[in-house]
Amino acid sequence: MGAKVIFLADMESFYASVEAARNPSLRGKPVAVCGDPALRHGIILAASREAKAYGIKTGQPAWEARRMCPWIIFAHPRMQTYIDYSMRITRIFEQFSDRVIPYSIDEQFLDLTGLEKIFGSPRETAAALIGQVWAETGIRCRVGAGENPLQAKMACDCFAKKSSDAFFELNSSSYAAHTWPLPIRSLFGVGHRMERNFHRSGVRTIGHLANLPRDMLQRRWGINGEILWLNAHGIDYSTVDPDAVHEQKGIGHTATLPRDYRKQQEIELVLFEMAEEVCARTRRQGKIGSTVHLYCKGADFDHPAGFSRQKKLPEPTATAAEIYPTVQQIFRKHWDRMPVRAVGISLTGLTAYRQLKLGLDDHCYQEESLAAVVDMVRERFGKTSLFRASSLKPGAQFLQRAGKIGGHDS
Amino acid sequence: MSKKMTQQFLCSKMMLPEHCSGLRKYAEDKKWAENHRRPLLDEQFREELQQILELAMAEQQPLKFTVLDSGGYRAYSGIPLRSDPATGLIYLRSGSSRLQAVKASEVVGIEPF
Repeated sequence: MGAKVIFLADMESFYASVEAARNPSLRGKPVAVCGDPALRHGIILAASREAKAYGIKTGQPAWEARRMCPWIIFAHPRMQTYIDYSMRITRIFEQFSDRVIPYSIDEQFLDLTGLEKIFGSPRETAAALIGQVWAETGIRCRVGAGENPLQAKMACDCFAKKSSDAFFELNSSSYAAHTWPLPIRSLFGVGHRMERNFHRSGVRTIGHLANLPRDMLQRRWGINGEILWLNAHGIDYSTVDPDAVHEQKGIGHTATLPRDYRKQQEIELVLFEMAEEVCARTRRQGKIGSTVHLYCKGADFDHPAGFSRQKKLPEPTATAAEIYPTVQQIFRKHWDRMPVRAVGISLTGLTAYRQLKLGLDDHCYQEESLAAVVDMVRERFGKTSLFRASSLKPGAQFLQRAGKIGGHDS
Repeated sequence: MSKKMTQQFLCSKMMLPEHCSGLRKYAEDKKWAENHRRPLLDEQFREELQQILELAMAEQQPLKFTVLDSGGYRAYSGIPLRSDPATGLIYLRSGSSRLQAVKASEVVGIEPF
């Protein structure tokens, strides 16, 4: 059997490109999409190619971008519009292959194995795909190709974005020559903390990692260490299966707080609101979860702190009153009393509601009935039609988050 | 092999819930459209259906009609009584003398019952 042909298509400065596509007067100008500076969402979410030429980067505060380029044009994020554009692009990709998986709002995998006779070589196919997306949406895309999703991702992130024709191809024989000299942080799966761990062990490049014994990494970091070793060798067993993308592993929410939260009461209030939000979404899908996961990010950028812990619930559930005590327990155990910048809660181990929820006691029954009624009222009259009085307390986020997508205006 | 090893991208994908539900709805709509796509019936096949229908009307034999309408594929059975070219309806008597009308334009198959 021949090698697979996998593409990763990445949209250039996606949010800013959508803004320019919708408003052609913005084309060729430095544009940045950023949230409301008053709510600390004033960070750059996307900067156009022209804005990047001034050194403006994603994640930078808006005021800093303004200082670097006084004539920069700021656009307010419109998340639903970006989702609609992303889905339009999915439909374009489906003209090339029926195996398309969106990986994020601006990245999508395509499996083009066996289609060479129709579309030509990977380079020719990529050129046609890039041309079609540009013609139909006005958005530039870059394509990385490989024999598996990892090679495609590495080809796109490390090379295609810098290539003049927005395309780069890696395969099993060229992978080492191209990627091994790159810094270890460039490897897919290596984040800030892992980079620090590797640096402490003297591992600076992908090649250094690839030359370590696989079982040593497995002993030290378990399955994650083994996956990183495979990634360093360009080996990846994942497939592009469109059906698998609809299997939901968990339901969660994260939020960057409008300011650093220092008081336990305030943080716990937001955690309760988020637990309710997560449970409402879980119930909407007719599911219950067995494990709750809490994520807290510290406020100090220079000394990244925080924690990420999970705990199995006494019984699978989808009511906030039942998951919140576990969330609170994790939070009180692991919070170091340092200011908190962002929090997140997710519920995993999802099963269908009827399958497991058999032994309801009176209290649980009351909680579930109440939650069902609240869901119905909110469904009919809007999310803010009924809420807890505690959401009026200082620090509460429910009203600010209602009606937003990803923490930004829809 | 560990699931994480075969699904590292599914485990790390960053998708907004609204995007996921939009994609789910899109997949469902696509599946619905696939299941409701009207087959192209060639001339010879349509003539065959016409012959089966005329024969059954003449001999009062019951037939099974496969129909594709907005609700998907459905099956109707009964003895065809007459077809009305003006309304495009085929009248059947099914079961206990109940009269039923089937739209000829929605019929995709006819077979002896």
